[in-house]
Amino acid sequence: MALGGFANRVARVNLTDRSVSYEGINEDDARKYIGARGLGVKYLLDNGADVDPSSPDNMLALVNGPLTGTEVTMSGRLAFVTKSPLTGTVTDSHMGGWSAARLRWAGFDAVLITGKANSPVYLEVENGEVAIRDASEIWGKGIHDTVAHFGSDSGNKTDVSVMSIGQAGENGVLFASFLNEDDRAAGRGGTGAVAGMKNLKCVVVRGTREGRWRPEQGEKRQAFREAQGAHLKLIMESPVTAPSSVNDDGSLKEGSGALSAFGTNVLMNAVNAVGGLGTKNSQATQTTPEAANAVSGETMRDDFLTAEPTCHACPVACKKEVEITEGPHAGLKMESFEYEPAWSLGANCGNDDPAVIAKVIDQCNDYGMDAIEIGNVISMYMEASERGYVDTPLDWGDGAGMVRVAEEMAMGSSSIGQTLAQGTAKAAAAWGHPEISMTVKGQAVPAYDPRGIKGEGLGYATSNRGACHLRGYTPASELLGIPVQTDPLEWDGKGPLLKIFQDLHAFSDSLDLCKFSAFAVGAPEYAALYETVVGLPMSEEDVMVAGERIYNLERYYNNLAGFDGSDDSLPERFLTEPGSGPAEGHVCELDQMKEQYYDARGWDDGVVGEAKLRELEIIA
Amino acid sequence: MQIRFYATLRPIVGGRSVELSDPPDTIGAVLERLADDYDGLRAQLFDDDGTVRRFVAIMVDGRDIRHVEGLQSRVNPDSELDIFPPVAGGSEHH
Repeated sequence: MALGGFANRVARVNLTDRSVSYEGINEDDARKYIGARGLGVKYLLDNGADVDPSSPDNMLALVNGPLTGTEVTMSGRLAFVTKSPLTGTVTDSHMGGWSAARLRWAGFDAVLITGKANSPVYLEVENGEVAIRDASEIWGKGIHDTVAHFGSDSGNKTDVSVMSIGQAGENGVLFASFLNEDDRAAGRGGTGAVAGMKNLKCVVVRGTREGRWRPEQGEKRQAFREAQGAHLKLIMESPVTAPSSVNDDGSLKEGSGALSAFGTNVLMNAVNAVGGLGTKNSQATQTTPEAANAVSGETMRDDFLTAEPTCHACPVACKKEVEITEGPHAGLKMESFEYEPAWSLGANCGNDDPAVIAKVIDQCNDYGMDAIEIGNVISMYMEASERGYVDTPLDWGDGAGMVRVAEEMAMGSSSIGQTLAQGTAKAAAAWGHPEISMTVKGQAVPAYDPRGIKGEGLGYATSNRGACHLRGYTPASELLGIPVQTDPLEWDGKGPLLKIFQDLHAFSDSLDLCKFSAFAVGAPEYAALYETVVGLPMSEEDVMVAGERIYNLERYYNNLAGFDGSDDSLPERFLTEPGSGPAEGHVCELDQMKEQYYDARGWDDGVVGEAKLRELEIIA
Repeated sequence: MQIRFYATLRPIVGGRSVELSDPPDTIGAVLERLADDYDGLRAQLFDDDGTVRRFVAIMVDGRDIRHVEGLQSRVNPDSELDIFPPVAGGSEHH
């Protein structure tokens, strides 16, 4: 195979008959769909879009991109691609940490898993081979214990990585996730639920840097070094991603990037200030400045920070490890106090106690659950309680109750827990009140309220994996002016804008580079890195076309699975109940934005037609 | 008038917020006062030509001044003012 970056080795694992076979990368598919997300969706499409997500026939694909595990900055990402049991759509969810790089160093671009084992198993990956092992010793354990069982750690001190589900995946929680290195999640879409349905506990990978892709000596090596150098320079100089450092007195040095210094949760105060922070199950769009600040990245750094770990090849180190020192959760040390769960379990649940947020996030990291979905399902339960829809109520801000129901969901140990474990949409429907479910295509919304940040409303509605902020991150434009400044309260123009973000992110997710790279670099850097690693020509325009192709491939899959424009919707609350604070009087003008968006996409009511499929070479 | 600061701007003003007595009636004039009062703040807020730096967000009652009247946006003693450094933005290179 002529393409650089790839190991040119894919394992197909059938857990039903416990067989493993190996093949190379399909070069035509790799050219068109780049890798990771794009290539993963192609594997899923070839497996059949009409597959029942809970059946053994569903595929769980772990797919690297051509840059994964290289020296390229922020290249420690891996895509988990499957048909989601939560949404019924194709979904991809990415994790950072070290497992992605280690999978590539162990000699693989992808591991494609189908079938169902008749007893719990795990996969062991090393030196270009995959073995199926008995997992009876670790079935029933949490992720932290499973990681420890294999002698891995939460950093890069060993050559072992463990990607595991916890009890939630084993017990059928539909928003169960995979984690690696204790705290780094492929969080969304229920990838862990699919593994649990297959009796697959974890994937253990052994690999060292010796197995990484390296450029040939001479001109090619020089070109790669120049492309990587330019990419790194922009990341090091960005006011967001520049690595942070501290003075002797602990204060931040000038020039420290905000993301590096405070983590993703630096957004908490900013989003609240513009009236984009859903509060009490999105009944309002702003909480008090004091409540937002209490759980913000600034407060975490000032009062709780203990360490700043990082992922493979990343100087940004946005992960913040914190320790709770007082109260019922004193002694808890955990990672991933991110903006999204700080919102979903914070303002969204009427809670401003950071210790409760830390505890529930850690439960999610150990039981293996999506921390966005869990905050939404709890807030929906709280609103149901307030309105008298349930017999066993949970009050806004009841921290002890939040911890209790999180455990009950993961373990299936109560009737309420079993209902909530089906996700926000199904639980609300089961209670006869779908109107209090803040979901799109069955997946709960993230931390940008569509009345205060309107482009995200369109982004949630048209996301191919259900409500998601990472498909097309319009807040970059609406809050910060990248690539152009747009008004978060204006709907006009958001359709074409969203398409640009969706296509660009589809490409970077397929390389697979961390999305935070987009705070510092863009299509020119992505193109140069692809060219010098893979060895194929790639212009800025080609980047956008490839991204568009991948986005349309996903849409094509979903259309074949029965989705159309009627599924590109938002909860009625966002369309009819005005927001608060700066968003007072505003609803989300979804229909107008959708019209512009479909025009930009060339879709007919959410369906990608044959002409577009041919234009993008998705079909012949 | 209370002005709230965030992230890397807090160490410069020595806290989460500052009080400004007898505030002027435009945000531009308020920022000038603050830049005079706190060492290092001017360089964080303004380019050399006196325009607000591209990724700095200055909000009056939750509205970024770029979407209203810029530095001429009117303020009063009850206005809510929030000033953010670049919290999720990037370089000029896009």
